[in-house]
Amino acid sequence: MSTIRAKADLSSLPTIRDYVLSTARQAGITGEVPPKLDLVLEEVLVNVASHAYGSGRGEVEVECMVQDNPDSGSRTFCLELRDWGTYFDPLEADTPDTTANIDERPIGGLGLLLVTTLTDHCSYTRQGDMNILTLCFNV
Amino acid sequence: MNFTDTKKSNALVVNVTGRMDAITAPEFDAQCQNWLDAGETKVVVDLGDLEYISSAGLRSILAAAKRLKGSQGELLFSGLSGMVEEVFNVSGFAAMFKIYKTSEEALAG
Repeated sequence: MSTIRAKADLSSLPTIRDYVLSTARQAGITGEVPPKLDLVLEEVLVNVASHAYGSGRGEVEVECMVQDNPDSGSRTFCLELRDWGTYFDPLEADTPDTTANIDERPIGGLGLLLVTTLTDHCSYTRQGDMNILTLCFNV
Repeated sequence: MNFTDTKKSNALVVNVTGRMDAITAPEFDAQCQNWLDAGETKVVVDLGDLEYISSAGLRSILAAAKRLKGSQGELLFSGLSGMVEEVFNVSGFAAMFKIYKTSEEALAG
């Protein structure tokens, strides 16, 4: 469909968010998916902003794709996130123990859990020097 | 993100509105410091009008809860709905914290 490319830091979040949510709206996606998209996008962008380029600077690219499956009549809205930073598979990270109490709970680590729970499908691949994270929602 | 504090006899009720995301969550940390400085120990955070929360918001909430607990205080929540409630459920925060339907119930409980 279309692609946006921006600096891989937190300041790009509002611009990329506007792009993704308006693309979803134009594709006729309503209901519970846009709020999930909103959240998942922030979580993965924050990951790229914190891990991909260390203390250096780099870019992130986000592409929105609508996939129709004529056989099943189902439709999927996917985000593909690309960066050219160090190898980083966020899906490999450990998810925290969500039953621990306030004292035992480490701070952080919940972003990935939200991503894997709220998406219908997600995958990571490293292609050459590029990290590609694909996040799909049934719509 | 905006905060409206209401002082009750045994607690402080804080209505949080807007978006609690990676950009705004540090404002919650700053508010928590204000509560501690003011000697508040029981804080009811009403999220009924919060539009959005991400893991950055959860991180700030957990940090605040740990600091309040360190001062023999407590953080309670009310008014959760929609995605905010779902995020609390997925993360286990709904089980870890005392959650009430309304801030009135939180004050009574």
